[in-house]
Amino acid sequence: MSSSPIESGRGKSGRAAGGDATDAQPAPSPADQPPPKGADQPPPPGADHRPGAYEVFESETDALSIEHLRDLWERFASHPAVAKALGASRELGLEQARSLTQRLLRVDVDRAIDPFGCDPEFVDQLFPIARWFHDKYFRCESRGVEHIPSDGRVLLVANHSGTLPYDGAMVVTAVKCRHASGRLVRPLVEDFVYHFPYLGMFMARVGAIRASQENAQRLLEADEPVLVFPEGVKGIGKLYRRRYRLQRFGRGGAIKLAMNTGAPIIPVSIVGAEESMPLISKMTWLARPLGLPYIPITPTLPLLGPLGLIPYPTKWYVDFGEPIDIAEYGPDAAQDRVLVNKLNERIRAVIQDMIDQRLRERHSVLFG
Amino acid sequence: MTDQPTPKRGARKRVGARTKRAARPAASPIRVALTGARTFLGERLVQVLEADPRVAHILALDIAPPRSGRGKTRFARLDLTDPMADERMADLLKEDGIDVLCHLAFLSKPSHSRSWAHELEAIGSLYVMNAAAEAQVPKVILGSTTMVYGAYSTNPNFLTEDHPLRGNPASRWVKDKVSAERELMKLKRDCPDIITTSLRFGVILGPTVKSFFTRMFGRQVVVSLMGYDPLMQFLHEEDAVRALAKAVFEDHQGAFNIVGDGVLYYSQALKLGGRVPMRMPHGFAYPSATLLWNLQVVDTPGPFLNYFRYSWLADGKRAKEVMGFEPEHSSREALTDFYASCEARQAEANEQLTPREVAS
Repeated sequence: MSSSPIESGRGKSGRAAGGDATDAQPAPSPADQPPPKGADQPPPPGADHRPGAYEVFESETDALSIEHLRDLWERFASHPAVAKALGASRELGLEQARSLTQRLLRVDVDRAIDPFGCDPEFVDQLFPIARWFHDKYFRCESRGVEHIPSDGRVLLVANHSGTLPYDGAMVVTAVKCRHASGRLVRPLVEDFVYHFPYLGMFMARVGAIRASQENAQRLLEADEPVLVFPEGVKGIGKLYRRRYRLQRFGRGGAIKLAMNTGAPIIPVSIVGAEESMPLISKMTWLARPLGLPYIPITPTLPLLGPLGLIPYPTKWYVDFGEPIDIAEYGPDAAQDRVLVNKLNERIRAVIQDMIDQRLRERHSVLFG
Repeated sequence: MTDQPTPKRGARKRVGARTKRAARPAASPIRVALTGARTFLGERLVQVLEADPRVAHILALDIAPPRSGRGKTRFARLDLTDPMADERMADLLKEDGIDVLCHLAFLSKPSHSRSWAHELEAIGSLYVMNAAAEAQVPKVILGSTTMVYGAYSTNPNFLTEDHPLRGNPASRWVKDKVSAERELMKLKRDCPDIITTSLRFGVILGPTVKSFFTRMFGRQVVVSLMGYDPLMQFLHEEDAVRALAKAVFEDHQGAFNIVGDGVLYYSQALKLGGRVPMRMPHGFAYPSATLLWNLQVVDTPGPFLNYFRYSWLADGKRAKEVMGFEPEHSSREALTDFYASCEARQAEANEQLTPREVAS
C-alpha cells in the first residue's frame, strides 16, 4: 500500500472501510463484495478478527439478533397488504420527491432554453399542476380571452393581489389553456426574486423575467405576450381591508413600453385572489435581512408553517378587456410625461371598472 | 533588446507622410502595434497579421517576444509597470509610424499581488493611452471583457454597450479592467480624432486559450452556489481573434460586445462537460473563498463568485449590425470544443503517465 501512489491508496482505504460495513451482515461471503478492482488486493486489516467478533455477538443476544429482526421484518413485509402499502409509499416517497426536484430544478444538457432562460419542457411538466389549480381549485372563469391576438406583441396589464403571486400563474395558465393559440405569457417579476436562492432559478425557468424596461422591451420586440403588474409590491402586499382598491400604477412604465413598441394593451382584472390569501399584517423588520419585501401574516401563514402557503379555494375570475391601442400616439409620446400619466390613469380606471363589475355580479367568495 | 535598423528607416519615412495625411488610403498596408504580444490574444493576432498582406509591419510590445512573430514583427521589450513606460512607448510608436494600436496587456486571471496587477492593468492602460495621445496613433483598440458590466441581480437580461460599467467593486481584477475602459474613454474625450474601439469579449473558451475560466471549467469539481444558476454565454477563441482582426482592418468607433450566440445555464455548462458541481450556500462560499484566496489556496477571490451567482449576459447585436461581426461558433459549440480539448489533453497525459506507473 505504501508503494502505490496517493490517489489509489486513498481509494483502497475507502474501499476497506466500505467492506467493513457490508461485512457486518450475518453471511460474509467474498462473492457479495462488489469492488471489481479490489479482487487482487490484500484483505483489509480488520478482516481477520471480524468473524470472531460477530460470533460473540450472535451467541450473547439470542432473542434479538440482527438475523432475527430481519426475519421478522421479511415476514411482516411479505404480507400482501403491507407489501402494497410499502409499494405505494415508495412511489410517493422520498426517492420520488428527490428525483422530481432534481428533474425540475436541473436543466438537461440538451434542452434548448430561450435567451431569457425559459425552459419550455419544464413549463410543460409543471403545467398540469397549474391547470389543476386553475380548473379545479380556483374554478377560474374568464371573459374576453379572445381579445388577445394569436400572434404578435401584446402587453397584458393586470391588478396584483393575494399576498403571493398566484395571480400571475393563473393569468398565464388561463391564456395557455383558454386561448386558441396556447401562448405562453411572460410575466415580469420583482427584483427581489433574483436575490433569493432557488426562487430566481425557478421563475426564470417558467418564463418569468425580471421587471425592467429593457427586458420588457426586448420581449415585446421579440413578439412575445408580456404580463405586467404595474402596482408591484404595493398591490400584492396591500392589506385585506384595502382589497380591490387599485394602488398607484407605478410610474407609467407600461404605457411607455406600449408606446415604444407599438404593442396593444389588454387590461386584465383578477377577482378572487384577494380572499384566497387575506393579508392581515406584514412583518418588515424580519424581511429586510432576508432580502424580501415583507413577510406576510395571514390567518394561516406563520401558524400552520408551510401549509399556510396554500391559498384558500376561492372562486376566481380572470377577465381580459378590450385592447387599448396606444400605438397611435407614436414612440415620441413616451417623452410626454403628462400624457403618459393620463393614459396610465385611464388604464387603471378601466381595470378598476372591470373589477367592480365582477364584484357586483359575485354573490359568494367561495362559490361565485 | 536592440532595435533592428531596417524597419526604422521605413518608419521615419512614414512619420513624415503621416503628418500630411488626413485619412489613411484604404489600399495601403497598415502598421500595427500591440501591447501584451505574449498574451493569448496577442499571440494569435500576431499570427493573423503576419499572414495578412494588408499588414506591412507589426510592433510587438511585451516583456517577452511573441512566439508567433515572423518577418514583419519587430519586438521591443516594454514593461508597463515601469514609470517611464509611456515615454518609451510613444517613442516606439512614432518611430514605427503606427496606424493601429491594440492594447491587450491584461491578466487572464486574478493575481495575488494586487498592487502589481493594478500597476500593470490600470496604470499601464493610462501609460498606453498617454503614449497613443502623444504619438497621435489614428486608432486604438482595447481588448476588454464583458465582466466590466458586473454581475448583479438587477442587470437586464442582455447588457448593451451603453449600460454603466459597474464592474465588481470588491474585485481588483475586474476593477482594473473597468479603469482601463475609463482611460480609453478619456483618450477619446481628449483626442476626438483618434478612433477608439473597445472590444468587450465574453468568456473566451477554446482548445488553446488559457485563462481563469479555462482553469475553472477544466477542473472536475467546480464551485456552484446553491439556489443560483445564472445564464452564461461563451465565445470561441477563433471568433475572438476574428473580431480583433476585423477591428484592426476596419474602423469602428465605440464599444462592442463580442459574445457567442445562445445562452446556457451554468448548471448545463457544467453538465455538458461532466463536471461535478460543488454546491454550497452563498453565505458560506463567499467568506471561505475570501479566506482561501488570501491563503493562496484557491484561485477565485470571494467577491468574484458574483459572476456565478447572477447573469451577466451581453448583447452582441451592435457588433453584428455596426461591425458586421457574426460569431461562427455558438456558446454551446465553444464549450463543447473546449471540453473536447480538455479530454484530449487528459488522454495524452494519461498515456504518458501509464508506463511509468506500471513500472513502479
